[in-house]
Amino acid sequence: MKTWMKWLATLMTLVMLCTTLPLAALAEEQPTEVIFYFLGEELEDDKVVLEAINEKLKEKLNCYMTVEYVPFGEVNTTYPLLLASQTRMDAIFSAYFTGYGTLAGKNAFMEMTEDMLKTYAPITWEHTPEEVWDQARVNGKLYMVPQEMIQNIQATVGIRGDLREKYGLPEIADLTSLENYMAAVAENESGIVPLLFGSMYSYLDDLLLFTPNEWAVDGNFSQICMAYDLTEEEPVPFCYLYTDEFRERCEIAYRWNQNGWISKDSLSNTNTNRENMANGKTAVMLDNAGTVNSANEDLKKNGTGEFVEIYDLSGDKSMLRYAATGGGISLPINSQHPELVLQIIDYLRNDKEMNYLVQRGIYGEDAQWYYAGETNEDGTLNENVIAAGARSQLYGGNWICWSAFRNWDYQVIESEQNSIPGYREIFYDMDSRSVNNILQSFTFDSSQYQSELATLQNVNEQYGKPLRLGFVDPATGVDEYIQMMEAAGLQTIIDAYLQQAAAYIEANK
Amino acid sequence: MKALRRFGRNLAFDFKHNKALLVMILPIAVYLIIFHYLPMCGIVIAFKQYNFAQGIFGSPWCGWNNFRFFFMSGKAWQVTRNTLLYNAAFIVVQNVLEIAAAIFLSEIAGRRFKKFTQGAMFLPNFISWVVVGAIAYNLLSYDFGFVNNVLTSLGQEKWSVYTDPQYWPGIFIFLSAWKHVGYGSIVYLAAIMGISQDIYESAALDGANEWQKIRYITLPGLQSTFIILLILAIGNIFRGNFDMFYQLVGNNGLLYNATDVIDTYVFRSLLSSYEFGMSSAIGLYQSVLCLVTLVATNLLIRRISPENALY
Repeated sequence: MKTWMKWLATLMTLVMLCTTLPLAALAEEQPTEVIFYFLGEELEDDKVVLEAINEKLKEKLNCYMTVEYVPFGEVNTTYPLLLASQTRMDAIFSAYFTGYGTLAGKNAFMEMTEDMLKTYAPITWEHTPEEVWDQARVNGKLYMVPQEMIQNIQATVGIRGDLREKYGLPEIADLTSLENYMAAVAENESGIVPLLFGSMYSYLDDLLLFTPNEWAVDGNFSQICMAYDLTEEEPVPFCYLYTDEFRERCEIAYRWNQNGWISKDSLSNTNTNRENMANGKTAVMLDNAGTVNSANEDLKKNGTGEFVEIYDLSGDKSMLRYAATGGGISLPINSQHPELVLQIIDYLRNDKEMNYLVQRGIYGEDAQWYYAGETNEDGTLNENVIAAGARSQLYGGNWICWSAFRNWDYQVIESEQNSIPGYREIFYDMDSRSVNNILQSFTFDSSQYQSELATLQNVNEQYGKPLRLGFVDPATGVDEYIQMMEAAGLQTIIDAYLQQAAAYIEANK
Repeated sequence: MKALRRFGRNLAFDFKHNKALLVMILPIAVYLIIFHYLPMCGIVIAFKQYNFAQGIFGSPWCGWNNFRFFFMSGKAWQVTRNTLLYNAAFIVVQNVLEIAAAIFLSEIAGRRFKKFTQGAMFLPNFISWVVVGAIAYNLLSYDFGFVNNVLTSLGQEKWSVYTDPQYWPGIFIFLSAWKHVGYGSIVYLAAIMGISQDIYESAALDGANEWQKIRYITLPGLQSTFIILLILAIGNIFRGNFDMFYQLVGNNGLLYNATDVIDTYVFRSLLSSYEFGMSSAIGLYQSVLCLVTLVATNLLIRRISPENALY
């Protein structure tokens, strides 16, 4: 027999032996592997932190987490395919922007019953307010442990402060001063445009239409353009395309575009607003406060500009509290350890030491974070304000730390030195104006209307987006847009939507 | 029935007398069955209302519902036409250029120059469309593009390519040719190498000049290669090159009327709805159209020049 054949034979015998060993007997002592899938990219220190987490998990629950990552950009492709292919996993990150409502309606997730939650995640069950659970319910059933987080996603205005000072312009207080600033940039600067949108242009709707009118939109089905008055107790939704406010908003965008303030590249640019600001391409960015704050850091690091200023033009308007379904954990339909997943969530979320570890990483100035040294009014250390340690960039870029395990009580705020002046004030001010609304928890049952929704999605991309960004004259564009939407079955959906929403309010008021 | 009986008799004969040949075809047959025929069962998903718990085969049937969105949109004809016309243009332009390039390469004397030219033509084939899309954006972007920078510094009006659909058919045909001609010309070059030198020599003796040799020897010699490549290309004529169209146009609604092909339209409509059934339905629609055109073309060629037909 040749040598390689002997080797092969030995190897095969070994494999057969291994597979027939009484593994079941060993399994009782071995900690159980629980597989989590999260969004984001794995950073260098994630492994170190995960090891620290797993040590505790082995002690307390005799299990350990294995974490796999789905890149953020593949949230519409890889993510649903993982669920469809029944890949072995026990828990998966989910959020409204990963299609939580739609996927739950298609049985992609295991239902979390009240019994399960009470037994395996008792603290979380007690601690989480009923309206937060309510938001996560799809047709009355729970498929997610939602996050608990104060977060504002409404549009704020970030501008290049150095350019404003260069032209001696006043601070931005309203749309007029913003327009003056954009005009100055357009006239005098080259290589930078007043307002370049990348992939996220919906903030323009937010700035010009939704927030000034105190409207909330249904983010799960943005293609049907349904909004409601968020200050009303029992609001009646309406399609905002038919309103005068929408026309006015399109006229503003058209004026900005025709004046060369909104860049003609806004339809073809694929960067995020933050990247465009950080690359020194745009003098204004519309984004949420946290992202504007991060863009300032990036800009300084790149050396492409001096500093970013942040402004909130929403005045004293009420705004909707950020959806609890903005980040949470669901059980895939083939999860093998649903109880352990719930136990892990309960532990990581509510044990202070564990929550700090998960969200912030390892303590110490040469590690991921340390206390910023800011004090409360009574002189005690404010533990909610942290500063970045030397290795902070190597942990926390993914969503394991920042979303699904978040807990109100251990909320993290950037320290003074890491914030744009005014950022924290805006953060707290917006939070004080945040309200909940009954329709926030309403999920439209779309199962009968998939064809219409797909067609409307396309009409929005083809006719809505250019109009919203001011490429098309609203004098003809709005009517054409509405006409195309109606041809795609908008009215059918509106009728069904109104009926379902009314029934929901009736049942839940 | 008669044909079936004949097929059976032939098979029995082969089993008896051509065992070696059958064994030789076995691996590829197994491969085809496993990776091409078995997955075809998945076509049923086009007629199912897919849900994750029941999977492809367990989900409930829904008839032709999955096809509805495509035809109710009013865009079905437009995107199908775009797909067809773009592919037809690519086939014509690229084949002409490939043949020209192959003849050019075969006639060139200098070895170094020939190698260099061939390499330079081949190179774009290895550049991904993502990169081409980024290069195009950096060249043509309105506010930051190289072309507009040059135009402004010369005091000219800026050129707004990304808001004007009229330029795009030209851009696509140019880029597609730029990327594929080098690769495609190799096939023709091989066919030219296969033409016997004796024919050229006897033509030279009879006093034929270079043009006459190309016209009367090379081009007729390429005919069968051309027809096979044509049939193969037509077999995909209803499939848009998603990479190219998506990377260059992206989510730019102003250009869709001129640039939307079936694949990009379906991608955009269904990206966030998780309706695997609907996207498969359109895939099936494309396959059926492709099959029909392929069979029709082959039939036509069998009529005109039977020796060149594929089957």
